[in-house]
Amino acid sequence: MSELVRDILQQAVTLSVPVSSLGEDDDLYEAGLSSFDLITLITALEEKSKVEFPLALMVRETFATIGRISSAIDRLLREQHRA
Amino acid sequence: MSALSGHEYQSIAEFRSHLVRYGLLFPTPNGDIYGYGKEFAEVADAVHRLIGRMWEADEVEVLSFPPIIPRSVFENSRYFDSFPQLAGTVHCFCGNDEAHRRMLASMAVGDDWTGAQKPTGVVLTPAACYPVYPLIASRGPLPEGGWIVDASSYCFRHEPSPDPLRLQMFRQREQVCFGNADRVLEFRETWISRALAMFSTLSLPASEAPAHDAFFGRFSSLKADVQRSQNLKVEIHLQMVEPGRLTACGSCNYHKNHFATAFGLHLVNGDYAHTACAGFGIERLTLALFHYHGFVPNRWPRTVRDALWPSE
Repeated sequence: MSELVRDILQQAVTLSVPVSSLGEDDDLYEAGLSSFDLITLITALEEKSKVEFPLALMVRETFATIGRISSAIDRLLREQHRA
Repeated sequence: MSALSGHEYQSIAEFRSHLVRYGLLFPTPNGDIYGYGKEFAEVADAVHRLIGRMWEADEVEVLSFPPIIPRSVFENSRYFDSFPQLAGTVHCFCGNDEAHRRMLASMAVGDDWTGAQKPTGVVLTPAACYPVYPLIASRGPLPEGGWIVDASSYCFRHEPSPDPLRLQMFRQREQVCFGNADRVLEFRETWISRALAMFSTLSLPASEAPAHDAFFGRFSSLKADVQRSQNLKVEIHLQMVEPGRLTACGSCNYHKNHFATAFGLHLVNGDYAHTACAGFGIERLTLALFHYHGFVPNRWPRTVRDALWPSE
């Protein structure tokens, strides 16, 4: 999932550092992810991973790192699979 | 009760009634669009000029625009991502004689006649800085040290309300800075200080506070949270008519590289530029003066009149 998130970050938003230089736990907001980018990012994540982020996950922390985004998507996919 | 004027009113509706009674505002039949009397217009013009005098020490390019921008500029700005509920698009009749006849017939009986309206190539300007970005980008890389534009325009926000503090179309004067992150953040800090000094000169007890925009839909609280945590928006607030309700009369914003990536604004070294703006709503500031100092400008404190009309 992490690779998918990295691809989407690469394509959908303009960060101040290369996506390849970011670790799983590096702060994306510090790397330049702004409120302007969020709709683009989330829309692309939802489209590519076939999940929809519920309102409860629409908080700053969910999208703070590549690792957290990946975990959130993995969890949503698991819940989808169980349902 | 107004702090200094001695006029007693507890609500926006009563404030509005006073403004109308004194010939300052003239409501149109819908009640949410106003004409302005001579004295209101004179104060608004003086406020406009006062903001202009605040950057006299800077090197600034002064530009004014009509209240429309090309649709392509609007689309590139991605305003629709965040504020679809506020945008005003311009549509016009583009049909033939038959379509015209049908439209008139529908209108005559009160039916919906708007189906014959088609989008034009223009959109109402959401903020005075929007036409500035593509213009500056068209000139190529920014000069060393960046660039500042003083931009004026009427702006539109679809927020119909009889509250005169929340107009749908209003004049905005914005200073827009282009440069690297340090340059534009320094500009913003300067303008927060200047704004507070200007309000003080006008005997308006303003304060600054972090703020967020009125984003649309399911992303709204997330975007607001991020905007606030990154300190992208600082508003200049005044306590107006209703106790406890603060009204923004100025806004100092840091856009990071949003407009630069949208319009291709580059520094000399090829990096994307950063931008910031400091904007003031002319009518809101004018209304604040009437609220705090009363409805007769001739009776305002000498210091306030001197600030507005220094050559008097």
